[in-house]
Amino acid sequence: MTRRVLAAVLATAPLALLLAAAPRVSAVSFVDKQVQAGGLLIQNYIDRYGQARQFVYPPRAMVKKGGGLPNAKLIWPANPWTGKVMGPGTTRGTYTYALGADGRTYKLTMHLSKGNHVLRGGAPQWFKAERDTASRHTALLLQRYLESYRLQRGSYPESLDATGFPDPPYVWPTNPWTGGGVAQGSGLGGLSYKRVGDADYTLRVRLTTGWSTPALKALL
Amino acid sequence: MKHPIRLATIFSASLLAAACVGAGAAGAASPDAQMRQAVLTLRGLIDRKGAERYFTYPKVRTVYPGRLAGSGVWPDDPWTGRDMLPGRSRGHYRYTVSPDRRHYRLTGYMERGVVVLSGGMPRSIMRAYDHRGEEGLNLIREYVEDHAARHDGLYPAPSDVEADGAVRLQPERRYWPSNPWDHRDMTQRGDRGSFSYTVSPDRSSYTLRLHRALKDDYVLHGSRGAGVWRHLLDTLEDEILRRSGRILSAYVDRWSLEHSGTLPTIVEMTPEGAVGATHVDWPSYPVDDGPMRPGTEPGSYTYSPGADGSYALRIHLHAGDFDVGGDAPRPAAPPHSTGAP
Repeated sequence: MTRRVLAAVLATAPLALLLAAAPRVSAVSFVDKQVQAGGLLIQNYIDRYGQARQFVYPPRAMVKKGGGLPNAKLIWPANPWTGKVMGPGTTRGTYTYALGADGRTYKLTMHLSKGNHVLRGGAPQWFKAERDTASRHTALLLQRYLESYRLQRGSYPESLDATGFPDPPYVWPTNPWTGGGVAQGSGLGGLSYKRVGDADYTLRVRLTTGWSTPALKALL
Repeated sequence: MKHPIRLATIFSASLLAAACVGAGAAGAASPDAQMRQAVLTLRGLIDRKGAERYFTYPKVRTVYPGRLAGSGVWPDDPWTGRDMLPGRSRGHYRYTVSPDRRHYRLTGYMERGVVVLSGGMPRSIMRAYDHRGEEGLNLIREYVEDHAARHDGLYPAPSDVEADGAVRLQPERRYWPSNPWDHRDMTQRGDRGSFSYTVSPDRSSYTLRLHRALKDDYVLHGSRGAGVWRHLLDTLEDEILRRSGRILSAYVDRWSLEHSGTLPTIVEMTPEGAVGATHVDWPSYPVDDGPMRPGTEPGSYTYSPGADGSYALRIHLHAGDFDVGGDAPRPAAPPHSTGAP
């Protein structure tokens, strides 16, 4: 009897230990929290990439270990369910990264043992307003340049680009969205300039809300 | 079963080994490695909070579990399994932020050593802010030049070059550029995104200086002779002077006709001389409205009569000279008599 009891105890005790150590219902929250923490770490790498690039986030191919995300070489989270590197996928302990069409938003879905944990990112609210303000600065400055141009040459230019304003050495405004010199175009921060006869023009800049209104016109 | 205990022991050992392997899958990383990961994760939370607030990073007391808004998940202390807390012992972190809260430093304490991370406003954003400030300063320069053109070429006093100053408000309220660092109107101060404006005692020149984040001050100089409006005024004055030159040339021609082809002398060809006395409408210099006089400065003229009825009359413009000299007409000779009764 004693031997039977002892054998039963020895047989059940490690089984209980095994169940306690292996991820299961009561331990899911702990392991899933590790998945969430891993997601936060990946999100950190994604955010740092975006913040260094005017909130343009990395392409999907970069969001993995060795994918080229800066500062991500040393530490990359592990999938606590497998012990291996956490990677893209649809099973527990993996993630799905989706980039918005304009590259300025993303969604990082961490797959838990049951359900998902979603992390999102994107340019902060203030950023668009700041860029729009910068774009308005650009248009107002160009309006003054156009007036100077007319004073010196008698009429407004046919097109609006930096080559038409070499003297005096003006600072040529930048497109805040691209960081390059502002130019005519329909992208964010782009310009729409049309000369109207010899004595007038319309000048608009592309804001996040559409073309600026009303159009800037001749001051003189 | 001859040896149930032995079999049970073997079975137990196998299961225990399997349990250890399974547990190892979840916790393969060393506590120090987990601590590094936790500190990196915390940095991510701090970075997100900073980005939300114009890259102004959180205060020290808010980097704490439950206080950093939006951080639903907080990294664990690998040694206790609980939320990581500030401190200077194993499993803790220390967060410091610069006085302007644009940079921070995060130190994580491990079993062996520390992990130190730093962060701050991205340079790309600083560069964009600097350039926006430069554009703002150029816009202010345009207003300053405009103001001078409306005030006889005198540049405004420093107090006028503010968002509530005459440069912005006259003749009509204009858009005033904002400082990207504080999102308020650009003003004269010593911090980033602000500017200084100095004007010479005679208000004939000025200097605008933008205080930048990544580079030295961005400086714009202006003077009465270099502004675009000055260029316009010079152009207009030159056009008036050209017309005045033709009038003076006509006076010489008329004098020649009225004096048997004799040209006026240099002294006579002055507003106070004999030619001037016969023309009350002597051309004036448009800047001071005084009569044009011989000289070499813009608005004056050089006259030199020749011996053969030709003369030189050169009008000095802002942009070169305008030559209106030539041959003065002579009065026609009276018709010869035929001797007829």
